[in-house]
Amino acid sequence: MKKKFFQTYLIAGGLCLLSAACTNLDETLYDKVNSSNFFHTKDDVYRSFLRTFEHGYWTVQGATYQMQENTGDQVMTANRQGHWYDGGTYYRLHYHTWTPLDNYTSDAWNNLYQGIAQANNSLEDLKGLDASKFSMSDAELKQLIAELRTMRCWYYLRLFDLYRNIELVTTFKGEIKGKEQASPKETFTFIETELKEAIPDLAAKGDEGTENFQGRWTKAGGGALLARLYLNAKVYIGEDHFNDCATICQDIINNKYGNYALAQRWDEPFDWNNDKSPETIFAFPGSFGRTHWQYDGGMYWWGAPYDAYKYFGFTDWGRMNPKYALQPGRDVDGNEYNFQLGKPFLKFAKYPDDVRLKLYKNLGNSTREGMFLFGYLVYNNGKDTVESDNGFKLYIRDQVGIFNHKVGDKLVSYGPGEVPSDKQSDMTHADQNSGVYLIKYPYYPTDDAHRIESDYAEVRLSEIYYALAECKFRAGDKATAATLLNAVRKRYYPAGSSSLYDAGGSTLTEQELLDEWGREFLGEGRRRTDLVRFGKFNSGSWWDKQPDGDDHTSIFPIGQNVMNVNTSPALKQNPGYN
Amino acid sequence: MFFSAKNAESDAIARFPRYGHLSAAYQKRLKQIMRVSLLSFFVMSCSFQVLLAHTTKGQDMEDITVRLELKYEKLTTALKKLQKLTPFTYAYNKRALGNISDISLPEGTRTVKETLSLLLKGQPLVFEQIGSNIVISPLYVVRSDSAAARPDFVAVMQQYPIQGTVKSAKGEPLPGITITIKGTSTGTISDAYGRFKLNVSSDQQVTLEFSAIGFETQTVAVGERRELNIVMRDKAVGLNETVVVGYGTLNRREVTSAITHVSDKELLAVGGNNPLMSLQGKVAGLTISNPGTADPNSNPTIQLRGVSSRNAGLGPLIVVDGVPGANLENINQNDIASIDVLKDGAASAIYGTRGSNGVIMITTKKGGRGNGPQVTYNGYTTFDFPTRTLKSLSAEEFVKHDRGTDFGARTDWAKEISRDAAFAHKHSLSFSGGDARNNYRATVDYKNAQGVDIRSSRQEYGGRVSLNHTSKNELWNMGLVVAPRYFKRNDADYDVFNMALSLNPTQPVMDPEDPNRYFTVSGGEVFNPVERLKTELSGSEAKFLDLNATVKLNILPNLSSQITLGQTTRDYFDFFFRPSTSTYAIMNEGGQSSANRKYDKTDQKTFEWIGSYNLSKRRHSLKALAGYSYQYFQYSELYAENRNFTSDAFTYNNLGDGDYQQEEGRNGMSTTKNDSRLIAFFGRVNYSYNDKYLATASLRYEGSSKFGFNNKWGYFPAFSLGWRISSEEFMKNVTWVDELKLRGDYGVTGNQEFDNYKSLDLYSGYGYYPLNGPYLRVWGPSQNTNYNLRWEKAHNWNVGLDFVLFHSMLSGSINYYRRKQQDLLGNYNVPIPPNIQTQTYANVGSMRNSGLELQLNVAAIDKKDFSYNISFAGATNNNRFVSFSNDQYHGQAFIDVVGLPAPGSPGTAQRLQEGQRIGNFYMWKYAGVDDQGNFLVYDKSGKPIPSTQATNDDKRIVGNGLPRFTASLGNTFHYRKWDASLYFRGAFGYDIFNVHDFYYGLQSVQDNTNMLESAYGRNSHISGKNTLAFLNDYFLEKGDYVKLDVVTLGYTIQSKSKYFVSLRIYASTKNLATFTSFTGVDPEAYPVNGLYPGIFTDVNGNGRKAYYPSTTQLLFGVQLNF
Repeated sequence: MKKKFFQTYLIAGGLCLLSAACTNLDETLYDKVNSSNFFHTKDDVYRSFLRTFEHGYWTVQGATYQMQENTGDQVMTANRQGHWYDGGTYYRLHYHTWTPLDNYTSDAWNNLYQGIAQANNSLEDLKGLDASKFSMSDAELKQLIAELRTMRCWYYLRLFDLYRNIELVTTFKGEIKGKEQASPKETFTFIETELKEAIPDLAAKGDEGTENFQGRWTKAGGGALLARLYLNAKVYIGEDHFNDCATICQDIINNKYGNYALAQRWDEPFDWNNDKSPETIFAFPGSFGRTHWQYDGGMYWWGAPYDAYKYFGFTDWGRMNPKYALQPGRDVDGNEYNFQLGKPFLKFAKYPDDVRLKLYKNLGNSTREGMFLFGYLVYNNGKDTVESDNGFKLYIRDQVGIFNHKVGDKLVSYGPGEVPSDKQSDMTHADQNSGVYLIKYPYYPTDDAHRIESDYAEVRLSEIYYALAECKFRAGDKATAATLLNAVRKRYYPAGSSSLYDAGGSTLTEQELLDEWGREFLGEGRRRTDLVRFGKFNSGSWWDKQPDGDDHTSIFPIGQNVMNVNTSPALKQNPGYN
Repeated sequence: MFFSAKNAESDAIARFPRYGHLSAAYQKRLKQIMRVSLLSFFVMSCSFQVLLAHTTKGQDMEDITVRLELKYEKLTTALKKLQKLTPFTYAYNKRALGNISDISLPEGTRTVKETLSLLLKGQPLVFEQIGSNIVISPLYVVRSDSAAARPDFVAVMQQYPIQGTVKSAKGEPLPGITITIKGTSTGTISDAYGRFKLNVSSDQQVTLEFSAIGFETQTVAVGERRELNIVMRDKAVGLNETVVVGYGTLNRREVTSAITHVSDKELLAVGGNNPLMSLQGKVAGLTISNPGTADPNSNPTIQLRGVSSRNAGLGPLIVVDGVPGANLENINQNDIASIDVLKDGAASAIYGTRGSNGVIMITTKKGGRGNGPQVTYNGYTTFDFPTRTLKSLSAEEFVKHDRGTDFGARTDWAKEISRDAAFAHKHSLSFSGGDARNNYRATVDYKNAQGVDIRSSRQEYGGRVSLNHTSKNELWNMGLVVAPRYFKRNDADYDVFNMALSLNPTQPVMDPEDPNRYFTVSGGEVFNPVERLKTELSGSEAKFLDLNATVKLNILPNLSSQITLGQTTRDYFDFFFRPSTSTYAIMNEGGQSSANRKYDKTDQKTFEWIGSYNLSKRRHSLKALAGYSYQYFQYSELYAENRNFTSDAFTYNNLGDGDYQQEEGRNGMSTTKNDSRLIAFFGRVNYSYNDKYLATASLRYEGSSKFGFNNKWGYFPAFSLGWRISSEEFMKNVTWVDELKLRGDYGVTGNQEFDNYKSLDLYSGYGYYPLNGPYLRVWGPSQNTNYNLRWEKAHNWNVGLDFVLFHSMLSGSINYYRRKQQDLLGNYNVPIPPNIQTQTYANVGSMRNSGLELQLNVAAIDKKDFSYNISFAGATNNNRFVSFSNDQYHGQAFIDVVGLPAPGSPGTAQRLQEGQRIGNFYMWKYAGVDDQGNFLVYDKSGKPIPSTQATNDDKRIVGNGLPRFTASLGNTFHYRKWDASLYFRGAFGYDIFNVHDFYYGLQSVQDNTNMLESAYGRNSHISGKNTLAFLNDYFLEKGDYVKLDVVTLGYTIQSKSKYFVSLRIYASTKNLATFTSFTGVDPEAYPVNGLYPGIFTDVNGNGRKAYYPSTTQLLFGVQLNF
């Protein structure tokens, strides 16, 4: 009897142990998948394809934005009585004294290369697919591959611009180690070749299937990136490619790559329906309910006083933040600074009939006027005025300093005409009245159907006009340059305004050209590149900024977090940062 | 339980007829048998002491009469019949009696004694009443009852009598002591009054041996004496306790590895959420650290012998009644019978994969066996008073120093968010009963506890039912444990306390213009803490269920097989709600109410099958074990959120009502699920020679689904050796050594406690991107793949010495361990590109821990009325982070860790560096202040420089947050009905970063922000403007502390009334006094476990300011036995 028990027991147990179920350790996925079983439908192909686009939108803000804008002569993040000191990290951006320990030097690298890794992964996925199995044509798959290569070039171009000595990585799966840094020339050739190869396979605007081609690379988009590369070639590799730049710009303007046109209304390229604007060449699609990265803390949302949301009547998200503001054009006493660069608000005011100069105001029905916040921000039918976070009514001005003081128990701002005795004006000494705020993208009120709906315009036709104008200018053809610029500028001024450049281009100086780049693309994340190209980035002076000792800061150091993990092969730090 | 006895017994009894002349070897063997069978019996009866206690009270077998008739019955059947008719329990070895049959008894009424005499007539057996038990044992011990001699059974030789008494050290008479004449089979047992009488032959060389379970065996040369008064010494408890090891139990003597056994009586009387808080400091090398002791929902972190891993789980494996991975929160402290802490590799290697952090074996109480039904009520009430709280400037001082706008109110924010005393009470009721074959125990408990903040609370009830059954043929044992628990918790918010420190105290709590609304506080990133606690709802409703069923088949007397099925389920239903009136919502969320709910479910299923075999031949004893284990873990979660509800009255109960998620592109819901498996084959052999030389070897072969497909399985071997020096011949005369054992062991343990799917090339869903109009969710790689992910392995060495000295007055053990962790699991920084994420989960690096542990117990005074016991546990820990690289990953030699939060960007506070101890504080070195009151620090050449000129190169290691030595000292007193204890605990040789002084202790804090009194006191010389968030060792202080931790006073009443048996009332305090030079909060609030000791960190290892105040707890309790 007992024996039988024992036997049964053993046999049952033995069977169990021998069966695979008792030793099977495969992992079961429930809410995730892996690459081997991901692709089932055409949608899946697009889901993988679009990953790097979705990520790319995110990379326009944060570290890269700070590095392009806070280092220039237009935007500042000053210490506003304790706010935004942050261990001096923004001082270092402003004074060009950053070190590899400042996180943005690592973050920009990682964020951009992440997008490249995603593009590489999708490229490897897509190249291995049989288009017919996903009811796609070979041409469609080819076009997607071309778009991914273009997207990758967009990342590489920015890395190239920021760090110059970068790795060229085109594979992802199974790779553990990085590559040796390529020479600038190699990188230049790589980007140029990639774009040239990709453009023929890209769709042109107006091709079949591009009616709703929001946030996707077209031939004109690829061409625009090539124009950016050529425009800065002198800086990148010491070779002049202005002619190449001019050629491609002219082709785009001539609608060789699809039909584009300059917007007639000044704010059209930034408005809620800017995806339909003929000026938009490439824009990341934003929406209130989904992503809208230019409206987040890493960019414009933190470019207004804390309580400005009340002024806009946009109450969905709570408070804004005065992290970013324009550098001042005047000292504490109200006198205009005498340096050439910077002074962004005064640069606009140079042409006083500029429609953009008005105080930003929501006009109802998804319309607005003005591009700046200054003075008292009065709302609620004049009953309320925007205050600082510690309770004084703001009087926003094109100056930096401490413009509030205690009257009795209360803090009060100096009003129009009142001048404080404290004359200090620098990065360490600002309050919330200091600096005009830029409102490029509209903040329509909470009850407006199109609030936070604008796409982020990464490439617009006006850039092609300006690039071509610069090429012409550099070639000595000031007249054509002036004409090109005026083609864009005419929307800012009344018809026949004297603010337009004279046809011969006699008023167009190099400084004026740089100023005009600054006006058109104020706060769009490219100022540093322009200053470098004009040779002003290291040698120029602007508010609270002396010329650098040398020009090693025209590129950034590779961040310490990146250097630390790149030990085999070891990355070489950029010159001047060791 | 009967194994050892069974082995030899059948042949012994069968071969040797009564009065047979046994060889010396066999006599000894028989004695052993006798002892072992007694042991079996005693263990079944719970404890020897219980028996003694009942001896005088019980009924006598001479007084009880029984009417019985038998015809050709088996003896065992006869005894069973007798048992039914009498109040006695009959203890005998079934196998010894099993062959005796054809017993007949004429009908008649006789006393039990007479009946038994008739039943056993002619058999080689004797019987003896001990309490309510009647022991029937083989007749080599000759009965000599002082009350009435029974010639039938007494081996009468031509001899003279020796008589005397046997007493305990406390002077109490001891019944049931076995007295044998050395070298013969003759002997007796002492009676209820400790008296004995024995006839010895006229041989002058008579030597008597006195023995009993729980006492040291004494050998007395009789000489000329005719009267002997013997004092029996208790055997050190430690030597006889049953130690629970992986998949079995061992007698303390047999243990060859570092295991600390703590019985329920040694646990501390503290009120808390987690039963292990009662073990704090008790076990050398086991650090139980709870930064929120007074938070009724907090759980401590537990760490054994230093930090063991970078990222994989750091806590020991918890095994409850043999089920690994059980839920500590579902255990009522009153249900714990004992806790065994398996510290070294050899002990824990049988749990291989999860043994790297040690194993804590919890044995719960089971039904009484043969003791009859018992009911116990335990109840306590606690009051917690905040202690060592930080003081901010009062409103008056704030105004006086002109620190910001005076809003007119005078608010003590800390007081507004705290209770004067947090109140809690807990009640548990247990009832148990049954006999050796069938028994039960059930406990139900209820608890209601508050935290010291005005929101947190916990209400719970639970139960534990344990049933055991042995089949009639004793072939099967079955056990079932069911333990459900329900609770609702309202969570504390640790941020409110540092908010209270820094809020402008002239701001009112309520808005003066609308007293129904809270005041919108101003400052930096601030919120109104009173409002948060009073209007926001945050917590969980939870359900636990532990099930555990065991079936054991006793195939042969020494061969058994057992299957255990276990399931542990934890369900949490979290809730959160913030009303639309919230000033925070108005400022940050557009004045929308918000709510969410999260339901998550953790399920663990266990199947274990083990077989064990024992063999004793001559001096060899062998125990072998083999088994298979399958564990399945599953987690699933459902989450939903919404905002902007029609009414705040819905709170979190009507998520569908909100219109926030109706916006296109919003979703507000998610579900997730993942699972993993662990499969193991294991075996162990324990061998002992002559009870003197001991050896154990074990091997576990285990696989986990979490690893890379090539590396799923690992081997985890272990072996240990022990030498019981005290059993050697040469130690015979060293009378002050009762027990001395030297042991050493080596074992390999593993760690796989990390998230699932880490090795795979996972694609996860990210955001949305339009595809020709409609949005499509994009998918892409979510982690760097690592197909080589493999076991983290630790190589553990341990040598130890267990000792019992001076007649059990001093006992304890010393252990020295060394552990090297290899292939540390953790996120490792890797380059982007080509990787997609900055970190890969990989096996990189190694770490070493070593230390010395001392555990001592001194029975300083042990008298009948008064006893004083001292216990000491002390441990040192040496730690080295050996390496950060391996063949595949080459990294830097250090990582800077613990990034401190805003305001300012203070940077990182600690550095993990190759060749260094973890917990190194890496910052600038304070060199005083300059004329403006700004910091001066030493530069790398040792010269003082202004803080503004300090560079990263000037930073250095300025201290360490990991205690070098931890210790506890317990003192227990018993005086008649009183008992008292004083328990001290401390940690030494480490530094703490006073994070509150750093952020709030200087005058340079932002305007409108309050600060600690120290800003104008201790730190007033640091008055400069550029001092905020400048990280230097001025704020590093000695963390050393000694706590008078637990003081208990109790009084026990024994009752003869029918209403109750005994009552103990007691009062206890926890955290009564702290002796330390540290100026911040309770030094113990700073964690010492984990990778970043000595500083507050959040779950991601970033520094934090939030904390929960410590309290002094006052506890009143009652224990009532019915």
